[in-house]
Amino acid sequence: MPKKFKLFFNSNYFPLVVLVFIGALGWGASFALDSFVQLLLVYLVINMILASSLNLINGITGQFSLGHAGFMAIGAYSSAFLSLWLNRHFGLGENAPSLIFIVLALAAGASAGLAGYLVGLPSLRLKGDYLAVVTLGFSEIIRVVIINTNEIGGPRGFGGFLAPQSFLFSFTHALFWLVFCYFLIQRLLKSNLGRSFLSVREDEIAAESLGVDTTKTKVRAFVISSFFAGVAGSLFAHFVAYLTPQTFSFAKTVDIIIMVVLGGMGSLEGCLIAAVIVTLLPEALRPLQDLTGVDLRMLIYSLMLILVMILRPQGIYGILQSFKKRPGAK
Amino acid sequence: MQDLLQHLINGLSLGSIYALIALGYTMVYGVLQLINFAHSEVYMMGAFAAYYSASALNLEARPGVLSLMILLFVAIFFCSCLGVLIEFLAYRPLRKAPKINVLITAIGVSLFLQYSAQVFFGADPKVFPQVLENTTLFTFFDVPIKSLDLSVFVVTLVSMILLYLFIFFTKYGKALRAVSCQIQVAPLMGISVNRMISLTFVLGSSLAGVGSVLVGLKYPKIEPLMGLLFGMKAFVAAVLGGIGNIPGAVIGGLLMGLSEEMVVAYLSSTYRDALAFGLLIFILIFKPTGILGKNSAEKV
Amino acid sequence: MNAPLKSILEFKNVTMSFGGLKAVSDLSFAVGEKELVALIGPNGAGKTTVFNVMTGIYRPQSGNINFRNKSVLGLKAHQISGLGLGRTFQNIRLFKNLTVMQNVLIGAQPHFKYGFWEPLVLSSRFLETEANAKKYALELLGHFDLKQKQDELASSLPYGEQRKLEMVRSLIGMPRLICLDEPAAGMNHKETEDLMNLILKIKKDFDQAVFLIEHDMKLVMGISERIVVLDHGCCIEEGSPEKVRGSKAVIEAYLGADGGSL
Repeated sequence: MPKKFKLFFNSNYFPLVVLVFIGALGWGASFALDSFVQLLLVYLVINMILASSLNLINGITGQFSLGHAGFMAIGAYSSAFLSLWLNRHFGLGENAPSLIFIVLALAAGASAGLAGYLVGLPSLRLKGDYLAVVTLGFSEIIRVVIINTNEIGGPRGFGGFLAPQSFLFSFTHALFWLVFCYFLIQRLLKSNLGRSFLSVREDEIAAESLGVDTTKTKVRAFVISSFFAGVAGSLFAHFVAYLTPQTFSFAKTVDIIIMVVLGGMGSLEGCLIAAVIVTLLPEALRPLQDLTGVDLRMLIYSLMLILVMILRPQGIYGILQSFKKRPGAK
Repeated sequence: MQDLLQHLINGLSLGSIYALIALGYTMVYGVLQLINFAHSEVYMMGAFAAYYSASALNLEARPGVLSLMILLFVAIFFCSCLGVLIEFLAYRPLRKAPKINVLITAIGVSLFLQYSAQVFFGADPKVFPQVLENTTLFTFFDVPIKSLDLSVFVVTLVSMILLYLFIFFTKYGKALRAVSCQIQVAPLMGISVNRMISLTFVLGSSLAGVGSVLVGLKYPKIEPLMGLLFGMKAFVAAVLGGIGNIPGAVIGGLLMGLSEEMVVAYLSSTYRDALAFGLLIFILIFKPTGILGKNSAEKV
Repeated sequence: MNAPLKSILEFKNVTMSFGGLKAVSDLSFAVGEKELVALIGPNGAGKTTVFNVMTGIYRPQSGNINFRNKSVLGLKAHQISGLGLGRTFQNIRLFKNLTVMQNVLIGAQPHFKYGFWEPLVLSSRFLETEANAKKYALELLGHFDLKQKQDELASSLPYGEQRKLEMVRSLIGMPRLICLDEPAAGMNHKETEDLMNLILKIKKDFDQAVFLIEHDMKLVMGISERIVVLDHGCCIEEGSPEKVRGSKAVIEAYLGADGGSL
């Protein structure tokens, strides 16, 4: 068993430590801290799921999607709508069993994954930057559709669907999905499919010549990634219990892109650290922002994108690596 | 019939502005294989430059062709400076980096300009000064031809002719085409690639400047986020015509304007913005090279 | 023409043109099972295009290409690879940021037959398959003196070893025919000699057909069983090294009509 344990974690226990630490924080927070900290903790976990899943496309498979907020929106709205429907037909009310939220998250993931398949198939056949534009356009279309659909509240927002009562459940549920998402990707990287993802990033022509079906591989990465974006959307929806189309604008995608880029594209651990920074930064900036009355967050993010790319394209992960490899240190 | 003609005129007028912006995307893509996401923000900044200079010079009080020329000049000058600056600061250090890194930088620049504009100009829309009176010049099959539409046509046409003459009949134009054809070989012929890339940005951004003033005239509401969607549509127009292809961008822009106008007129205005992306996905499936684009397989 | 009795690869009147330029025109030849055939020709004769049409990167305008009695026209590159056609590239295309071992394992596509979830649950089938693939990969790497470098990045290898790694990566998929695109390009005399032995060893140890594009006459003459000479996209000579060496057409193609000696 310990051998399998070592194999599973690939002898790298850093993510495990991070996840246990977050878990401890959350479970502690469930009775000790105020609701604002609880909110931040759940957001943090959701952001980690979003970052890890986008990293699969943008970092590991080397494609470039700008539509993650769109897939998250699909998950959030379909999950919320489904819960409303279930409630109407089965009268679950306040005491909805917790299991239902896991089912909802699965359904949300499935619908986002399906959308990912439909968008990915045509655009991933071609190489290059078209995917960026198609996915950006797609997420804008999703937003337009939501705004124009009255059944889900249109521009006013959508509420009144099922929401779990306890923070402890919401948090644990989110953490479960994060663990699942993180280790699925981590384990896949040690398998044939994961190596195929990497081969697509490195050299598509060489990969094809070795028998890797590059289109299928890209679509798979895209579907897995959208699935988790949908799950994150569902978690978000039922935690905040109210959805507005503005939440899923391009700015949300930018948030996630920042996490991936700052973490170091393709690095699983980097994403987790960057998600912490991106989740907490707005709170740290709040006093300054109130003082100046300027939306500093996006200014800082955009400068960060430019500077990281010019000065440190490997992101946080690269910095960590350079510490590890310093002469003298082992 | 009269309706249709009116829609055609509106569509062409909108389309020619798309074409101007699309040219900037297509030219940069032709040389650097980069979707210059910041291009739409150059266009937005041009509109603000024109707006502030118009109020500084109080041009609204003296409407006329001269005022329009002054605004065009200001916008062209400002946009080309901005375009070159962006290229120099953000893209040049990444000349040898992977394409995806440059793309991320472009998105960063675009966001940076958007949010700086919100800080400096405020997020509220501003009304663009009407430096040209919109009078009916004459009627054509019962459709009034307005001075605004006509000037949009004329200005676009003149800029495109100038661009055409520049690219196909000057030494610099030839060098530009050489760089866009074979960026590795061009320096062997004594062409400074960096200077040609800057020139590409000057040309593209100037056209964006022209476009920004024309948009300001025709749809007189400007705001820091005006570039985002407009730029995306212009990019789709460039893909439609065949990315990297200059006449293609013009055709793509006109088609884009016309189809958008027709969708609004005969279907529903809610689908206006969805059209561009529907169109994009359609092209990518059925003719990824666009109308005039050539198939270029990667050399092995 | 002395076409092989049982051929693994057949070109039948293949024409491939780019715009107005005919890179390959009406070309027919065959490579037999377990045969070592070389394709030579002056620069621009269309050699690499031959490789690219048969591996599915370009599609020829006319003619037919059969691999193991199956037409490969219209198949995608990965499908053709799946039929058992391996290749290397003239300008080495390794996965530069991955390790040597990862590079080799990506080449081992046909060996992996486990499901999507198995890596996550560490099923015994997954563990066994991976372990076996790694063992085989190490064996092959050992064959080519690359065993100690399994954890190094592909980009950090010296040039000659990168060439070898590309061959290992292709061989691990157990191709029936391996195509080498100018393997001696950029190598010095000594390295070329080692390469000659290596290619002969591949053919012998793996008991398979080798199809080789090469500039280096010494290499080609030394190891090929049969040579196909290409000029301006047409086959101008075909046969044993001795026959090609004495052919007037070949000498003219290489040295001009005035002649000279090879």
